[in-house]
Amino acid sequence: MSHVETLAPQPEADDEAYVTKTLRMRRLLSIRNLLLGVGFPIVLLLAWEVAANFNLIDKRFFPSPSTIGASISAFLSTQSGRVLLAGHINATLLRIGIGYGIGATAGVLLGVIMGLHGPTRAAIAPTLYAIFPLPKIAIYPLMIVIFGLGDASSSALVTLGVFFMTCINTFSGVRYVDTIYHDVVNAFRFPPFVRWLRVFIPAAMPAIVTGLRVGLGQALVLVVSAEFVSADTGIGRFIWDSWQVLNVPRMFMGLAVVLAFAGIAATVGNFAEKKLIPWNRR
Amino acid sequence: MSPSLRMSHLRKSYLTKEGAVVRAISDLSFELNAGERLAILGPSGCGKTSCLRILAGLDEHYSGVIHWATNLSQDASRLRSATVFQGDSTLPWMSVEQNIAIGMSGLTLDAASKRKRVEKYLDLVGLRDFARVFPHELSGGMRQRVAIARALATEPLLLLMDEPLAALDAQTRLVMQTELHRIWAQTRSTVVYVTHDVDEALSLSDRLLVMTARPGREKAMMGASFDRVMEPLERRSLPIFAQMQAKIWGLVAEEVGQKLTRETAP
Ligand SMILES: Nc1ncnc2c1ncn2[C@@H]1O[C@H](COP(=O)(O)OP(=O)(O)OP(=O)(O)O)[C@@H](O)[C@H]1O
Ligand SMILES: [Mg+2]
Repeated sequence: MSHVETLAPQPEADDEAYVTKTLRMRRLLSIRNLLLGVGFPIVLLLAWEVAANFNLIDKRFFPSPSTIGASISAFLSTQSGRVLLAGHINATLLRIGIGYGIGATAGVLLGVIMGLHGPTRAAIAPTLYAIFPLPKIAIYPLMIVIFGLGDASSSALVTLGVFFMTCINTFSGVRYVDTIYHDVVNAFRFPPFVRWLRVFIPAAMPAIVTGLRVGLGQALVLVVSAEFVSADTGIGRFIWDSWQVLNVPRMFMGLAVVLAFAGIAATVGNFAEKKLIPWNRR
Repeated sequence: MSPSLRMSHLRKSYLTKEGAVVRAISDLSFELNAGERLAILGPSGCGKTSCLRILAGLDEHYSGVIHWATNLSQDASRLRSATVFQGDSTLPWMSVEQNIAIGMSGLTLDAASKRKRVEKYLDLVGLRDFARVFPHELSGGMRQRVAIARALATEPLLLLMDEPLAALDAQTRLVMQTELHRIWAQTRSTVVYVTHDVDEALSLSDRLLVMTARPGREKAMMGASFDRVMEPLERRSLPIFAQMQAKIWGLVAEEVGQKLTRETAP
């Protein structure tokens, strides 16, 4: 019976080796990807530095990264500089916060209602899709007429942009829920509450989260554009003013702040994706 | 025993997107007594799924009459009908146990009895160790077993199953047939069971309906001629099993042949 024995599984050692090996492979892969991801921008910055130092690019508009870094830290080392920057950042964040809060709430709500209720959908969808492609900044003049210069009109612009993004994504997510889920819900006579909260909304959740993510990006674009045009404060205003007085390092500081916002937005988006649609992970 | 369900002259046509009419079922009538199990066999596309969807209340565009016995109790701890669908129908955002529990959301059951049923049917389909796992981490056959447990847990008066075991391997299928038989022996649900597998139909039914090729009609209706409570394996060991098997194969093959000649004809 010895040949039977050899057929018997002797997994423990093998399993362990396999697990260690796979875990190590995964770790190596993620370290490699991290190094590549961090290394590439460092290479770009180095190239920029070299190009500036050898006068291959116009230093008035593209000072070397080290010069920019030095003037940023000089600026931030003064109390007044820090207060100035913080003031602009706060103004922008407030506008985004208000605009995004209202726009996303309204967008998700109307999107769900349109997905759920045929007549509302038939009435609103054509208009919604007709207005959607309009660059929102193009109606900023109208916003100013209605809300005046400043905070209210830029928040309103953000609200509008975020609303369209979240509404259209939520709507199509709810509308195109796989028919098998409709069948399950009907065949098992789920109560309405369960249908919506535990089946249709989760089924539409990937599309809703996508809407919320691109909506946040849209909010950033719109708030900076609006501040260029009309506001006295905000990071967009800070960038524009710096440019007008040709304080290029300060302009780059403003850009860095916008990038940081975008990075935070993306991180929040990733986190929301993991939390809200864990079954969708790859 | 009074019929619990009577279907008379069911006709079903579909209107395709292009506006063409597809006749799926041309004239189908049958009666089911309470606790009876009917197996439906027939070539692909003959209207089996269509018939089941109508019985499940998922499709209201048909002609004919479906009469439910009024004495179908208003027992709020059992669904009037539950369905196991032909394809994957698990909800990917819920764990296995949540998938089973949510099937009972239309019933009036306290949390403890719900919990008990979940455990019972988890055991029954052999997924106890996977209670907290999500469907995307399961094989196709395991997902189908989740769908079966979800339907069974509602302890339905009418259980509709559309090729529920087709995604399983032969061994698991045999085990599940035995389990389905045992569950039925306990719950005495009325069952309509669609399958392509003649052995399975004979193992699990009291009566068999063979349908013609599309548009589906009754080609033959016959009793399974076994003691109703006899288990699948025992049935298979009887000489009559093989005789019936040959007879049904003949009937189905005739229709499949018909269908193929018709579909390959110019
Ligand atoms: N939604 C639909 N629209 C148009 N035609 C349909 C639709 N659903 C089914 N049909 C047609 O109705 C006929 C019967 O379909 P059905 O799904 O009931 O067949 P079936 O017997 O379950 O087949 P299978 O054994 O392959 O599952 C088929 O010929 C199909 O083309
Ligand atoms: Mg079918």
